[in-house]
Amino acid sequence: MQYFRDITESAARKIDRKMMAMADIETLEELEIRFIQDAGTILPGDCLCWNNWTLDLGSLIDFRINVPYMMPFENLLDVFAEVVPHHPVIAANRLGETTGHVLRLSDFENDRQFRENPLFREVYRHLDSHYQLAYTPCLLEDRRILLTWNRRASDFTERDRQVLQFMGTRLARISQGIEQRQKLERNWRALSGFVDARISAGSVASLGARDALMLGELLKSGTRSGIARKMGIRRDSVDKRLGAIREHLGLENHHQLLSALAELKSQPVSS
Amino acid sequence: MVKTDLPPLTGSLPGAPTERGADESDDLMARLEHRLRLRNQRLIGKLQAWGELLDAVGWSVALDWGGGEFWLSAKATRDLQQSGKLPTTWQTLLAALDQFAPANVYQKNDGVLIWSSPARDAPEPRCAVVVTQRESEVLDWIRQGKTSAEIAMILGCADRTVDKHLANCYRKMGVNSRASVILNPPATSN
Repeated sequence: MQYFRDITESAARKIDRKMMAMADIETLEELEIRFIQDAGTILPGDCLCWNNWTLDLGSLIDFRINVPYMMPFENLLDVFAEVVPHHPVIAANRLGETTGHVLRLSDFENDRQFRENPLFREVYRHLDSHYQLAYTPCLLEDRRILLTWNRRASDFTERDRQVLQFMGTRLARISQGIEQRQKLERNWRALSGFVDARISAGSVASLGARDALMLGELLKSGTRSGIARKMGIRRDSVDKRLGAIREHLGLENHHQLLSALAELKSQPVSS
Repeated sequence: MVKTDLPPLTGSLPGAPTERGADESDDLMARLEHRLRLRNQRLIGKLQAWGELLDAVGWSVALDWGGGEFWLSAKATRDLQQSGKLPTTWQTLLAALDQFAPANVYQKNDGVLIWSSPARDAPEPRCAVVVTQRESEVLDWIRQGKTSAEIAMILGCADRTVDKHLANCYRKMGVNSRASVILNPPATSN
């Protein structure tokens, strides 16, 4: 906790409780919505924005913003694309540094200077973005997540900077977890599709790891009593589980199941 | 998508925040990590178990877990070892596979690679078993899961005749069960 020295233990626990509640979220889109809804209670701000940028920062893929600012920002997207190079952090060519560091806009241009900035005049003043923190908690395979926290009345403190980073490190883990889960699900579709294409039976998509272990043992030993011995379970349990597998695959009897396994062995179909 | 005129970033892109280590010892973070890992572990376990099953029937399997981690089945490891150095990343695995060029890569998406190893591509030296036309028919029906009584009805003969044909097949193939006949079909000729 030394790095987050201005965050008390109790504040850290409160943030963690909020972030832990997001650990079960299934999609990045859902996470964006939930984070923008909840994170404002941890680190108050006016306009809270989750931006998904391409990895090279060439394009803003999409963004999520808290409700009061959604309409104004959508109306300003075209002009935003034109004036965004004037962003003080971007103009200083330091946007890449937001990966791992929370940057404060006022450290690049003071309040008076920023009010003269075309980005402020054209876009940010409509979003109450006089002061800003920018942070990239993580890069995913296809995007870079950039959080921008904006306030109208007062600048962000050192503690605020630490809180955004503290939240962001947790958000990064959750985002990476979701990304990995989606990848694993894609992989499972591909792998089960490969098996499905080779056996004359229903789909294996609904079968699990233990089913595969049991089928593997069936291949090796060929008998149900052999599987029971090897897996340390009762013969009845083997029969019951193999029956369930047959039912999933739409097979009538044990020999059809063996035939399906033999097909998996056989020379592959041309596709 | 909003196109901007920003100069593209050059050089290597930084990965995860470098400050991550600052709170590595944090128990709360560890709990979050554990919970996230547990969720994905079930899927990883399932993929690996099916990968092992495919390996057991002769396929070489490589699976990408994401985050720089991947898994190789025993046959895939053997193939890659024989072709040179074992890859350390998914990208180097793809490159190694191109170089080693197994005859057939049957599945290739962004995280699943299944190929048949050179040994598998070569025809298996198997003794052809000479079975009669009738025995061959019985074997085909056995593979389709039919019982002796059902086969007898289909072929229009007695149950005992089917059992006799089957007993002859067992003897010729050197096996002693229907399961072995189905799981290890011999190269037959009649």
